[in-house]
Amino acid sequence: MNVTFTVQAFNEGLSQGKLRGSRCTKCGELHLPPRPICRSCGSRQLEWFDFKGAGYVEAFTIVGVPLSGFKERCPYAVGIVKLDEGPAISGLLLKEKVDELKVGERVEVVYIKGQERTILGFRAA
Amino acid sequence: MTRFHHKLHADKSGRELFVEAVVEAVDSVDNGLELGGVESVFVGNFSDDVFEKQSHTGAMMADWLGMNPKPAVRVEGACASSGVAFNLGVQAIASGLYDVVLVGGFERMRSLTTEQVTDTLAMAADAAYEVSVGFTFPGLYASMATAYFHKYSAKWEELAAVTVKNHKNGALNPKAHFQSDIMSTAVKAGEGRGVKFKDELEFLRSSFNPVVAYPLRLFDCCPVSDGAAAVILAGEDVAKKFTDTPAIVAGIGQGSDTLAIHDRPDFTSMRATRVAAEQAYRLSGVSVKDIDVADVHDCFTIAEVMATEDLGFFPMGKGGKAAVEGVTGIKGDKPVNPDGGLKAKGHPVGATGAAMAYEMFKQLRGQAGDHQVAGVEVGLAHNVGAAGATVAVQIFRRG
Repeated sequence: MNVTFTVQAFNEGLSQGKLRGSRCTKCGELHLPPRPICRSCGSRQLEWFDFKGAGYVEAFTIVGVPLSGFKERCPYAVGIVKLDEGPAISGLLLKEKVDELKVGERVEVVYIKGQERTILGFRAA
Repeated sequence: MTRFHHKLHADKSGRELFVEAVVEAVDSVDNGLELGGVESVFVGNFSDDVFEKQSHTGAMMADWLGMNPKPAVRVEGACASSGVAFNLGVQAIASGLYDVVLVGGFERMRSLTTEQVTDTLAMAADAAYEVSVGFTFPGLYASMATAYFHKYSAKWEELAAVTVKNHKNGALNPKAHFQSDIMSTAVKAGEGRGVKFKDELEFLRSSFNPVVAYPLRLFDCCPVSDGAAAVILAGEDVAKKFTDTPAIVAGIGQGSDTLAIHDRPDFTSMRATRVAAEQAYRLSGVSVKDIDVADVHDCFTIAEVMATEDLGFFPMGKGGKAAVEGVTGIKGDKPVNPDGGLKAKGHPVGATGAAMAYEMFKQLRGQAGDHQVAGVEVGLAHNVGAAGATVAVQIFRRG
């Protein structure tokens, strides 16, 4: 069984400026983040697939009461981006005026370098 | 069940809360029941590991109830922990293994700061792929709300109607965390600063109701409460010994979904609720129109709206409108959360599913006091884990 599709590998991808998921070699289903078992056909034969990182905001919030690790960013926007390739994923949403954020807004991926890790984010395309 | 509250239980730990709830349950059995007659214990708890640095709470509760060496297990399904514990208890009896079991749940949350509680609740979301990018637990439901508003052109005012209703109901429930309606709360809050509000909406739109996660404000969110709840389950044959008026578990259902909500095809509806409800309706032979009262999982106002749609009470996109029109009020056609719901009754995470069963038991026996719904024959409980990755449903019938 292929165990390369790990959280760690996904995060390493982010730090290298890549949005990496997996693609089922049997049915073609795309997964982001990468999964070891295809959700569509159950196959365990998957390969790496790099997403372009373009899509639109499908849902979002502006956080007023933050997690301990996100205090400095508050208030910040975070949401779900539906990528052009199909899958959707959660990310920080960078926007100067967060109040103007709208469902449906086009965005592109941005890799936000932190001290210890890179956070997945998106900004207006 | 204990009262749910954020301060009253400061001198108690989780085990004392649970024992208090169990003692009430045992002592209330019409024809008497000894704990010695209970064969197994299912304890719902989300995160006493973090809140009190205590794991292994199944055996611990059996210990504190004097029930060792009987089998005991702690059940964890986030906010659905004791709804799942309930279903497991029913299955254990249905299997023929036991005749009488105890199911319940507890959470002792107020030993941590708000920030620590926020971090702990977020542990029920996907740590690697949601929490890592800044999603808080309220933030996930807030995202569902923005998607819902977009899809159905709905407005936050529909959510506010849920707030107003559930606080009104909570004011009638002596076990509720909050026992004042929104207008009384507004008057009291405004007094100190010389502010007067003309109605509930003006208060709820004001800075007295700050944004927790847009579009959800403080009063769209359930409080952080301490508390415990417990119920006794008995097989049909032996139940007759204990009471002439049992609440019959007519059907149960359970479902799961992706932990991360971004992996779901739709953020405005919960698949696990629909699946769990279908099972419970099928097993019980009860149809949606037969449901006289329901406790649904309103950890946030948007959650109640979505639940009333996914359970089939209202068409998709119409749940908020039903709240605005009073359909879900205690005297409405489909009373929802007459006990105040999580919103006003409080939400000691692991206790909530059992507290819903407690409420249905009281409603079916006509013992719900000031928040009694008239003529209840059938009731439904709906308990959601985190953002919908675990859902447990039960349908009860008057015995």
